[in-house]
Amino acid sequence: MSARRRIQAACVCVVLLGVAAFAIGTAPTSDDLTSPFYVSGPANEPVTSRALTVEVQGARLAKSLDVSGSNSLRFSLDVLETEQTWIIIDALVETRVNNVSLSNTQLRIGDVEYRASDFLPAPTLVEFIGDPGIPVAGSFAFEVPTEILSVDDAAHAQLVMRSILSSQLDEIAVVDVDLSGLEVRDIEVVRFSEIAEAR
Amino acid sequence: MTSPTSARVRRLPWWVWVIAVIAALVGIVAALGGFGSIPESKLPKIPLGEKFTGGEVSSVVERVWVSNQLPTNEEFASEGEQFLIVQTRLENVKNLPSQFVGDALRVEVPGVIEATTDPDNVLDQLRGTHATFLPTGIETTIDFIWVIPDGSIAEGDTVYLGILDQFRVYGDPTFGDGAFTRPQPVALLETTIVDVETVEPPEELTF
Repeated sequence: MSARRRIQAACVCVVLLGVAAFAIGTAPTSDDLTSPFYVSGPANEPVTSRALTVEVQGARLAKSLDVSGSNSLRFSLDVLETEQTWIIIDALVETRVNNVSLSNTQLRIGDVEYRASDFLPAPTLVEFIGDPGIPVAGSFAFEVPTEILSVDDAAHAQLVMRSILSSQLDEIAVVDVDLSGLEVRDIEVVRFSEIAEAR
Repeated sequence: MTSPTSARVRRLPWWVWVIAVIAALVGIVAALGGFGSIPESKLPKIPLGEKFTGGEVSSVVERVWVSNQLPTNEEFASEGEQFLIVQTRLENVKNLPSQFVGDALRVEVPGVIEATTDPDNVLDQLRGTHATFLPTGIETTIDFIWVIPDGSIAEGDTVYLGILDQFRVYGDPTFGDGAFTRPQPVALLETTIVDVETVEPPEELTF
């Protein structure tokens, strides 16, 4: 092989390596390919995903929760304290398919996500959301550090209706919630799940 | 006159000699134990009450004691049993809720609890409920409970504790970037039981 041919072959190799590096560097990751589809909407309006329709009806802040309205026989406390702050999100949820769970519902404030507390006595929306087509009104409770409420991100919080932690390629309803300027009360009553009137 | 064998040896190509010399050197070094000593992985030892911040959770072991009553409610141990209770303060230091609660700590009491034995219960002390996840950025008092035979741990006995952590795995074939390693110890703590309490159960209600 002549010297000229060798140089040409080397150039072709370099170009091909460059193309391969570019393709690898710009290819979507596995997480990109399988990430969920988020369907966003404001509070006080229905937001519909594949599995459910949710309407956030309000948000409250408190230092303790009154859970005396629970019908749980396994829970002896009437008041749940926190060293931080409770955020109570009141919502109306109507499932569209069977076997929907909201046990991994999260509240996103900035880049931090808080999971709905699962140790409240039943039935909060974490445990009971009814059969398809039947709207259920209730609450989610989130325990969050108090200082997070004073940052600007609190005005742009989002309720993420995640049913499982890894909701790949599924639609997830996300509702914008403004937590800024809300008064932190000493105690707030948790609204336990009950069947609501159809919209 | 040279023999045919020594002539064949001299005819070996030069690279065979090079490889033979390298192999001999490697063999001698290996036989003598290698160039360096084997690194010993020593876990940090922390005292009771000191915070250890891992990749997922920060932990403080506050108290270790034996009792016949759970600290979270009025539940008593069954006849012939007691609880070994490890009270900790755990905080999820990531920005997502962490399910790494029950695996965050293990104990070893020779002859009573093996280091691989899971706790019988993991309780959120403030609420008295089973702890399923650690909220983001909130320090929570978590009690790890092991049921032990009555009298198997006495005052003065040594308890060895291991603080465990898990680490994110990127590019896992099944879970992508959302997978974690198996929990592994990252710090050790050694303490002595100074408190064995026996609480008198209330008389049972009769109807």
